[in-house]
Amino acid sequence: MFDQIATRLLEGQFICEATAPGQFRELADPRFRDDVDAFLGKLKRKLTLTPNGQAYYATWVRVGSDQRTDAKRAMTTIKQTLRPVIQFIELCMDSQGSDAAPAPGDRLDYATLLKRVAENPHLLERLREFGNLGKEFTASDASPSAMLTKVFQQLERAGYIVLFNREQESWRFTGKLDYYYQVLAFLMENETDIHTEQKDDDPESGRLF
Amino acid sequence: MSDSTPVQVLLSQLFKASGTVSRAYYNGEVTKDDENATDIELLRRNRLLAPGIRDTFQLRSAFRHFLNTALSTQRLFAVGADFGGYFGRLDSLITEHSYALQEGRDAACEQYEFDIREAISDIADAIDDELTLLHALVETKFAAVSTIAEKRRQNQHYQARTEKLVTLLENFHFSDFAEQLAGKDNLDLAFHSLLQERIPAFREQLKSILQQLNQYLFEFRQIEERAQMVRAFSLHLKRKPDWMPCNWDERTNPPEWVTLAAPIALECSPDVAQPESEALLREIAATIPATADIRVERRQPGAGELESTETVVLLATPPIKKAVRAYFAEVAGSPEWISARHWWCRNPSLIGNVREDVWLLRLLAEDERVGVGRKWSFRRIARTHPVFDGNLIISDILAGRPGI
Repeated sequence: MFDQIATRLLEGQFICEATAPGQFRELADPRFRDDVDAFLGKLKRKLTLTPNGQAYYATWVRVGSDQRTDAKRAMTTIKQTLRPVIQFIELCMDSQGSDAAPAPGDRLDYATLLKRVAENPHLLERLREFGNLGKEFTASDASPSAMLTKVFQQLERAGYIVLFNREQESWRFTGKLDYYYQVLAFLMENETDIHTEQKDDDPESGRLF
Repeated sequence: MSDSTPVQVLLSQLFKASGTVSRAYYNGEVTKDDENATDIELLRRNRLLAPGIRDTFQLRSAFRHFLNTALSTQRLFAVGADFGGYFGRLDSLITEHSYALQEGRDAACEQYEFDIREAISDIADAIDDELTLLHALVETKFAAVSTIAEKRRQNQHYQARTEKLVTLLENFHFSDFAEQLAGKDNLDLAFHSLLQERIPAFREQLKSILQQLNQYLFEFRQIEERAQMVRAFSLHLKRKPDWMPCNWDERTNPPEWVTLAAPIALECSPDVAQPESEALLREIAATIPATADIRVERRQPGAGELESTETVVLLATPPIKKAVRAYFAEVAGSPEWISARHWWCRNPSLIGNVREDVWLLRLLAEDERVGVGRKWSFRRIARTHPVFDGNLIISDILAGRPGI
């Protein structure tokens, strides 16, 4: 198991309950985790857990001049995935009429989502908007199924969803979603213009809880 | 004359009216008509059905509660058992039993003992039912309601109820009951085995559920916060379509999420010298076809076809085979010996990723394969192995045209 976990982490993948349940459970053991961390340490990496404990991944122990290129690459990826992922999350929330943002491990039925999107012009318009995000989101034809399939493919490639039942076309959100929410929370708190905008919009938000 | 007990009579009557009971349970009420009039009268006589509004009838609460418990049906904000009342009844029964015993009223004593056993069972069953209900709610995360706000309110309701029950079980003086029941063998045994010995387990289970409910409350709040964050961020992106985050990677101390380590492409080669890998490697080698790959060209979907519809089979020649042919062709036209290793160095485009040692072995194999029909001369630059007799260490091969 150690070799599989170490390989997966070195390959830059996230380990969570949805993508590798056995490996994720193995990492719950603190001593095993320390062993993995020590191994990664020899390669200037460390084992990192997302804020809500939903996924493990490897980060640099220290970001020096050698690691700047990687940090830039990670930042570029974030910039490229910010809009598509948030649009997808909103599409899921709106199609279910839910006031809850999806969490890692939540089930996502392709057929149900497609049916709701196809029946609702507003949701269909939201789906079409993915085409404005770049050619990787542009489907070969304008049918809802082609467009939604394209979106699913891109989200899967980015590591945010994983297929767990091919026959039923059932998917799950992965633990990487926790990483995405971490980025979102950070930007909400630290990007000056969003922060100010938030305060102007909802002065009472702080009192809700 | 029948020997049936009142319980059997009641159950047989209930069986006759089962359809009406089921409709009243699932629909919440039943309207009287010609078909169910007899059933309704029967159920009313047994005090199982009560009049509702607008000529409808509904199940009486005790009966409905029994069905809810028996069928483990989730009810929103379900009414919990009145544990205070149960314990109070047990206390009163034990006191009255003592008086009856002191006054020598044997018949009353027997009746009280029967009721005390029942009261003990009532308490144990009520706690057990409460645990079953709470377990179901916790496992499904309040699946009966859909919105997070509702789930949070349900969570708070059951949290408060569980807390009360835990406090009751922690503070109640069971020793008082135990002392009063001491010496009355059957009652003492019933009290110990049905209740007192199970109380610590009940308490632990309730505490675990309470912990879970506290965790859920935290999670529900987090989900709400997350949804607000998603909506707010999305709104921001819609307002400012060209917005991009700052380059947080350029900060002296970048945030953790930007310090993702670069992925490493890992590739391994098997160690062919390892005897333990031999069987597996042989198995892999056996699966590699000895002949050239056959590539079948088929018509592309949607592409027109003008002439033949027959499938065209093309034999793809492996690069090493092409290189061997090119080498011997050059040899045939050259007046000098040509070193195989030099040729390997000079022609990387023809050789591809074939290793030098594999190249030499391949030439030797080709020479042996062609045999007497060969159109070249062959010289091996070799020496004997210092340890293994009969083996040769070949350092190069020279090939020239015949008769050179």
